[in-house]
Amino acid sequence: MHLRSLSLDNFRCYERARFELPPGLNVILGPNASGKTTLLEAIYLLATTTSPRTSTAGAMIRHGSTSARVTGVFERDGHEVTIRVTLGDPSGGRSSAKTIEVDGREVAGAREIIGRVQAVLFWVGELQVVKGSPGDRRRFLNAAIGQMSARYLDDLARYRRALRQRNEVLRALARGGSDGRLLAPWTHALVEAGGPITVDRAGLVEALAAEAAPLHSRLGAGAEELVVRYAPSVPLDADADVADAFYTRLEATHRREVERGSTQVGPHRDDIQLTIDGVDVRRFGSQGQQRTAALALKLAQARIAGARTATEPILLLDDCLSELDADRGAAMLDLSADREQMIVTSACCPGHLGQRLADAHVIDTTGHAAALGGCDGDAG
Amino acid sequence: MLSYAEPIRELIEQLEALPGIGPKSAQRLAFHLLAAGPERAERLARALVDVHRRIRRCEECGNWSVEALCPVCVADDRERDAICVVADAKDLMALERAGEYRGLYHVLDGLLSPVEGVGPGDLRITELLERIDRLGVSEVILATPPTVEGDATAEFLREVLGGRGMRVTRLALGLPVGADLDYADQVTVARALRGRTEMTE
Repeated sequence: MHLRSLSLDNFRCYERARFELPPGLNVILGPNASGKTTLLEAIYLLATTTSPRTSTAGAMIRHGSTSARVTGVFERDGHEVTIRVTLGDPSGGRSSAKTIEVDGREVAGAREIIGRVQAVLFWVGELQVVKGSPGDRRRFLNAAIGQMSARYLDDLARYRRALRQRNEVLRALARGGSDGRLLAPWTHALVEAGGPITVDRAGLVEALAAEAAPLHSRLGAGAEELVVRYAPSVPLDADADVADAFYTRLEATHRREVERGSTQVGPHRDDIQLTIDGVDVRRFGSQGQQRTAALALKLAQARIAGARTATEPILLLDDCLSELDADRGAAMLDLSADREQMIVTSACCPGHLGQRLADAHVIDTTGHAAALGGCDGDAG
Repeated sequence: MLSYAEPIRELIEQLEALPGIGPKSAQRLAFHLLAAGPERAERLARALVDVHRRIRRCEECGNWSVEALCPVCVADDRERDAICVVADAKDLMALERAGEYRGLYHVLDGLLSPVEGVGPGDLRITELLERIDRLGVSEVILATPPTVEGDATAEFLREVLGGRGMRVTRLALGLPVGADLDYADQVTVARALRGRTEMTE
């Protein structure tokens, strides 16, 4: 699939702007703080209804305005679909409001977008998948699977809810103010939602491992071998039912969970192990190794999403073509040459990439953004 | 800054405290009521007072009722060997509208939610057990909603009712009737698959 046009109204530094994008490679060029990443953010917002930079809708509304609007016209197999996200309330109500429309019809949420539009984003924050905490890696898994499966998002929401309720009972048990009969229904709810989450994650990590290793070596890592392994809190065994395994682990940790007033095992304790030639990339990898590993994971995610949903995701790559990254940038463009649409940002004209960019469509952000203080300033 | 006169402010505040009403809606409603005149306001005020004066809990099932027993509990054409357990009176009405069920109801008056401090003692579970034993029912239908709390409450009741020897059933989850599979959302289809039933003769 690809994005044909993107319109922004009062979105961050853009008062009003419209861009046409052909399939293939699009390069967003412009100096720092000219709103390049903001364009990727807007596209990602259309595809997932969330921003990679902020969880507050109000933060994306242009200063001095009460609402923002992003509209995208996507094309998939010759069919057109228009998605519009409105943030805030034009009449001055809640700035946290978020309205999503598909072809002019208001829909309930992300669930309705899933399967229609897909985008995979690589930006500086994505390094957290390698460098960050287990929670960062779980977020990556949740976003990757959630974009392909609304059922997964539903299980995840139910799991979190069950976990909160269960932990509340555990705290009451610790105080002696509850009895075990009250724990059972929440354990049941936890396992019912958590089992499928574990199975889905195992499936995704297996696919990631297979895709990412060859991508990683082609991204310039040469003979270095990237190994991706799921480290589930509830061990998966081909012979045993995941629900049984979950119950067994919960029983085994029951004394500790009561002492601490929180559930000690389950998908909320999962992690992914990333090693290069047997060495933990998170702790011992160089900056370059971490970056290459993160990029390989992202490109692998895009391939898996394309294969599983029959909707090839739009690749969004923020600032991957800099001079420092010349080899990696070139390799990445070569690897992605067969993608339906790729949108990349760059601060300068990357002359070192020469012929590879000759056919690219260039979008210049200079002059579009009406910002006074710049656009990328609040990227953190 | 100029603010609304005190009585208007009070009305807006009262309306805003209602569920689903934000500051904007509260303001709109307040000015609508103001413009609609005193007669309209008195009718509304009377309805609010009346509902509290005249409505009480049905002594049997807990449904809202004008009499000591609600119309379902006094009706002589209802089957008295089945009880359908619902979270609140709204759900009871939804099931009644379907016109399919001919048994009795029991309103729990909420769902288990430790986070909100709602435990079994806050629900009408003792009353339910007492009725089951007294009426000698042969089936209890757990019709709590398919949310985490609704499922957990049903699970808790299933455990509590175990050993009493009657049939305990749960409402099925599934596809909207008459719709194409195509049009059902992914979550509904996935849950319908999980809850699939055996086809028997």
